[in-house]
Amino acid sequence: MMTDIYIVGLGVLNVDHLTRETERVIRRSNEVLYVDTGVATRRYLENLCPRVTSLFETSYAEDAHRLGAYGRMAARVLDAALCHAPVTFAMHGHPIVGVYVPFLIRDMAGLLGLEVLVLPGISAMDCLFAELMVDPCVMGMQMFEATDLLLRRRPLQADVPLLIWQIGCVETTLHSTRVSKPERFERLRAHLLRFYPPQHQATAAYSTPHPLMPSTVYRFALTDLCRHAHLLHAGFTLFVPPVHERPVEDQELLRQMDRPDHLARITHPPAESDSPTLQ
Amino acid sequence: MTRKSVANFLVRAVLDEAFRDLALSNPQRALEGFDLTEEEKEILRGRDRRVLGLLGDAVRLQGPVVEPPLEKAPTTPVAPTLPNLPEVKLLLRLVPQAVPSPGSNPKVSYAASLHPWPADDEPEGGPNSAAPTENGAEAAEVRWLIRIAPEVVESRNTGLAVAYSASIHPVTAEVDETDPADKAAPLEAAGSPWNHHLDSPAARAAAKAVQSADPSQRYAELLKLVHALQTGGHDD
Repeated sequence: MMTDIYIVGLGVLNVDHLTRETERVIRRSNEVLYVDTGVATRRYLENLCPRVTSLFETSYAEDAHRLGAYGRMAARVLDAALCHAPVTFAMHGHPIVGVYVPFLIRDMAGLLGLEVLVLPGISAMDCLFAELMVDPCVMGMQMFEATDLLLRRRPLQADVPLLIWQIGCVETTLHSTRVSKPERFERLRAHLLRFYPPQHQATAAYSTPHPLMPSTVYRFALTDLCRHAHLLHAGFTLFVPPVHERPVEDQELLRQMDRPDHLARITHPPAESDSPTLQ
Repeated sequence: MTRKSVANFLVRAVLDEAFRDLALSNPQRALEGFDLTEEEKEILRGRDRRVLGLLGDAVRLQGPVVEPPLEKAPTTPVAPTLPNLPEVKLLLRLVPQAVPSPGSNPKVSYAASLHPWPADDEPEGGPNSAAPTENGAEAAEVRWLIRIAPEVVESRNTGLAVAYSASIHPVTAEVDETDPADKAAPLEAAGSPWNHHLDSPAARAAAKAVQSADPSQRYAELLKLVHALQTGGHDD
């Protein structure tokens, strides 16, 4: 079945994070509509596709509700797909992480009988893992969108690494490029201090969008969060390492996990197995 | 016109790998030939986070809607008159032709021809050709769009120069057996966390209105569909 709308991520580091899979579908598209403020994005896309349309300038308005911008973006993409499919909707980072428009496009397309395919991209989380050398498999990972964390007063586990998305946009659904005041972060600071000691060190990271610029990383005690307000723009993610390591409770599993006889108990012998192996 | 030069420098550092390496290893040399202020040179040499400010200016400069304000327009005589040269579009057709081959099936050769791109942007209007191949299958005509994009750039010696970039694109999206759709899970399986009113009469009616709308009215109808999905037709 032919795809009418590809939804792809452009990654974080301008153009360099595009996957070959994404490039291939963009080449196949009759138009690419994109939301990305990378300095070379348009020039690069123009070499892949005959028609390139930026939706940023025509969708967002300062102090206006972001939901309205998202609706206009989705309508533009569907309009293009109904006119000359296939088209690609491309956006900064990963196309599903912290983005509403693809869900709207998917649901509109379903009602209109159009096929949608979503491809993965590199998100700020992937960059943060690399830059801070964080492995989510070691101590787990809890992550929340900043405003949602406050709205629901979500409980936090101080023994699990914490990642908070979009701290620079916290407490509003309106689009804004203004510099934040300390007051913006008071509620977030208070919530974090319910679970972490005031002097616990956190890291705010902004992965670089350009190869000639380093990523920006600020380390500070949680109690000083508000003092960094003027620095924390919409691109920052907050990482809070665990305060302590949770001790192992299942001592029996701990003993068994290195033992061949335990492996034999929980797997089929090689000859009997009909499942593929990774050997 | 230093803002344009900064933008050119930053764009080139992304798209031209050799230039990027030079900018990282020998920034002083990479900056040669760009009309930049001392402050801009210092930022680009230092590669600190002040580059972000230059990036913002560069993006605003190239935006389709937001133009640089007039009061910040360059004062050099050539910069304000940088013309926009038209893009050139050509249609490349490869038409298969069956060539008789004694004792075997006909062989196929292709006749290539280059045409001006149709003014209505609809090259599919012409008849497609096909020819039988050696194994009896048919080889279809292939069409490509060739885009040649001129760009006026500043030149130290002559003031202005024209650079060209060319790209080639398939005109029609043929069915690709390696389409990643084959490996994709059905979207329905993922569900939606946004509680859209997919089954509401308002959403269905709005979808029908989109499908029957004249192209000039379709965008407005799509916005109504967005609203119907988000509210189910029940305004606050």
